[in-house]
Amino acid sequence: MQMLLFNMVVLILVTPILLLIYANKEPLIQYTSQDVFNGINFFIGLFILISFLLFVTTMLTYVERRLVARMQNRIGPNRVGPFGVLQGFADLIKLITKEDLIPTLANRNIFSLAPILIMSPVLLMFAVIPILPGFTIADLDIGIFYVVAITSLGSLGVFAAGWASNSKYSLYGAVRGVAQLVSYEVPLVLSICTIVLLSGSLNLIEIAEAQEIPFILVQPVAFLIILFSVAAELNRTPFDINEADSEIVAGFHTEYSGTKFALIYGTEYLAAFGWSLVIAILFFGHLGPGIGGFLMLMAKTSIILFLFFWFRGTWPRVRIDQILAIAWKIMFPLATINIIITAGEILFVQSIFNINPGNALGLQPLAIITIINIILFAGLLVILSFVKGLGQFDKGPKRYVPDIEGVN
Amino acid sequence: MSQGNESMNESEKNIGGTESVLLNLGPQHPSTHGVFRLRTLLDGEEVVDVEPILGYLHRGSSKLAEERSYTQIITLTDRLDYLAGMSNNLAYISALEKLTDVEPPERARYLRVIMVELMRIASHLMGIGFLINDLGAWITPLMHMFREREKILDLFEMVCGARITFSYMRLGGVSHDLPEGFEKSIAEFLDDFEKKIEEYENLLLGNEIILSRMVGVAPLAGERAINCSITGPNLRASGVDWDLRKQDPYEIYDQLDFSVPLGENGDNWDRMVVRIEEMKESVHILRQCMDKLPQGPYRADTDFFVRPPEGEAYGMVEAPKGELGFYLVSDGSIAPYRMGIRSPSFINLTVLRELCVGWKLADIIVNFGTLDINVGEVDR
Amino acid sequence: MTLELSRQYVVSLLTKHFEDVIDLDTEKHLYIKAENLHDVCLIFKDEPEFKMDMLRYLDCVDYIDHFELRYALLSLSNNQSLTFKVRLWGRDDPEVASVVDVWEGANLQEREIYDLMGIGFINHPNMKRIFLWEGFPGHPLRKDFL
Repeated sequence: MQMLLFNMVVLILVTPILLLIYANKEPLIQYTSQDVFNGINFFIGLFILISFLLFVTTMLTYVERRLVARMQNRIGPNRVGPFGVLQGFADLIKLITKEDLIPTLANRNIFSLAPILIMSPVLLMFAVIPILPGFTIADLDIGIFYVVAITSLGSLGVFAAGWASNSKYSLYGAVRGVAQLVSYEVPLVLSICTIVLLSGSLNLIEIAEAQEIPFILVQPVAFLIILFSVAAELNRTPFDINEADSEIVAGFHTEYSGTKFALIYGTEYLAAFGWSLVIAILFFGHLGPGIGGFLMLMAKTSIILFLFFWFRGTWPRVRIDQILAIAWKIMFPLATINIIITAGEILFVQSIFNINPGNALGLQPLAIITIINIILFAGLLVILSFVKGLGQFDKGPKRYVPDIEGVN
Repeated sequence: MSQGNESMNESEKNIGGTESVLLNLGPQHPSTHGVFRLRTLLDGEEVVDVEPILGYLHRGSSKLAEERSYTQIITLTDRLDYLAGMSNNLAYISALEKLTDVEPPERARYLRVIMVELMRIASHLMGIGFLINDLGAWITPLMHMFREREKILDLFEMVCGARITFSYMRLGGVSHDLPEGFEKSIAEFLDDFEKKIEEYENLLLGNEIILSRMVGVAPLAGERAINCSITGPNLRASGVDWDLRKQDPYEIYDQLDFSVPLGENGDNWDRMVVRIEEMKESVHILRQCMDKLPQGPYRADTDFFVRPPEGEAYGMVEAPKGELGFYLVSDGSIAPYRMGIRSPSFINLTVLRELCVGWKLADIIVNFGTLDINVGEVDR
Repeated sequence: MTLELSRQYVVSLLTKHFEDVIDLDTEKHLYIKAENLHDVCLIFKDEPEFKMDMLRYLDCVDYIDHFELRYALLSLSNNQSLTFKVRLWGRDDPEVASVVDVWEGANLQEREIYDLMGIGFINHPNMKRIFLWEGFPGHPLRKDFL
């Protein structure tokens, strides 16, 4: 319980303080002040937001278990509350009332600090995400840049957790995690750049409003690259090598239990929710007004979340060298080519429609880009279908005709 | 394993200026299929050395058998490879029948083959399910395989009342005849299972990730496999055409029409595909057996306390994991003087080190999974 | 069917290579002298009449005054099998040559016999106990272990 209180206090205090520092003293980052960003309203908004996020996290654990259970011919948790919806809360209560174990040989301070280091960036990420229409904690002009920058700090916590546990499994998980996160940042950021090129803004709200045509149609390649990069970033199947349970037990959080484990475990779902929101905003069209817009955004988010759960329920895991090969040999070149093509297309439509650089593209220019990109994407799929296996997968499946009879 | 100690010490010193890590996989580990320990030496992700450390489940079945009557030993054999109890029963009984010269009636032979082939399907299902689970597909394939295995266990429950530890085979026959409705149930199961195998093939054999993880990984040459006494699907995956059911037929296998699926390279992929193909063949065998099943007694008339004459016998069957043999030495009393067990899982472990060295840490788990050992049988 | 080579046949072929390798003159089993074990195994493996490429099973029986090792060999190419025995006298430290360099499959089986029966195998690459821990008193499968 001590740790819980400690963590709660740190989380609740550190987050707004950091934001206030940004808000008041940092001259480089320009933010637009809003009404909610004043005095007591700010803290009420923050409290509502964090409560909402913790509620979503707890529910997501239940939703994933139910969904995957259906894929596995099981029923899943159905005992606590109607249809088992309270299962996540029961687990949470069980975890936070557990004894707080710290291994004897672990570095106690870093071991305790690591879950906070893992969770804080993910919570901070929600500062710029417009969950409610017109409601963001900080309406930063560099919103998507801020999201990428702040979430990449999470690998610091992962490594701290793995190192401080003083366990070989944890260390392996941490080293794998850092290698993987560093690799997948690159195609992720490159693909986000294409979106920024198209929308002409880094602000998440403005990106959403620039989508006369949903960007998933305009940029299908970027969508796929971001989807898989985010799966790697979130340690979800098929890229969950840093907590590969069948190889290195639980990776960097092998030694964690109780509240600290709850923080790490919850962070995975929180990050999945956060990134799904970002993807939904980046690719799935306008943010609607009012409560309807909120519900639409949640619906779009849950499609992405369902994809992640679906991956988890069906796909095996790739090996570490294959993961890095996919990142550097396939996704990085693809993202680079994609960004060049997109830039060329934008120059092309700007010259045709006489749009000044920096202005948002209208419906017609976007439609032209969409048509070109979809044709290119179809061509890519055709080429990929002829390539039998990517990277190391150079051997196709072999089928055996059972041998002749009468061997004697 | 071979040169285990020296190579471990040598390679611990220095490899390219970095230090190797000694990692204990097990005895408690999510993917060691029981209480099993792999002492691995790793250079980063690469495997330098592997040494299996056994004995956490050693129960001394051979020693226990020396104090039990021949009939009581049947229950001991159930607990060797607990995923294939029927095969263990049959291996022991075949040794005992060689020792006592008891001939089971024809119907009993058919019943035995039916049960053993059902058991083979169940065991291979578990082998593949756990393998894909270890590949990281959480537990989805495992649960699907469990679904089919449950149906097989239901069939066994119909026949002998037990689901895991059957003790079904007896000297000169089997313990129970088929119950009413069994023919219908097994026909339904076989029809259903053929469709399910197709489903598994669609799901597993075309999956790019499974292909990339398994094709070409840890190949085992046929000659090497023979020299290391590898038997069962692992040997056949290396392209060696050796199946006791064909080459040295026991029971009624010489009257049945089936083929022996073979692999090519003996890599992980071949070891998995051979098991899938074997399940199909088992379905084929089961259909023939149900068609041909003769009427008549299911058990020969034998004494309750078997007193075989002095002598010795070695009886073996093609169990799901390989050649399972029992070596019985009798001194004329009601208990064997010595019971040796040739357990395929144990002897197949001989190649584990050379399969793993040079591959990645993640491959150890897959190699271990495709060898399909059962710790209950390894430690005995 | 796998052909079990008869004792007379094996003896007649063996006498081409060795003068005196037969230990015990019984009709039932083939007994090889312990000191010739390794050479005989090489013959069994390499000669085309035998071509025993697999060591099927290695077992040991404790007969109080002596131990009897039973080597069951299998030829996959000729589909024939062969069983021979080796007797070891004395209970303290019976030793016999290892056949791991002939058949790698003997590796774990010899270690098992060393662990449970207490028979040392000379030139085995890794002669350690396998199921029980180092320092376990006695060898459980011996008849005098209670």
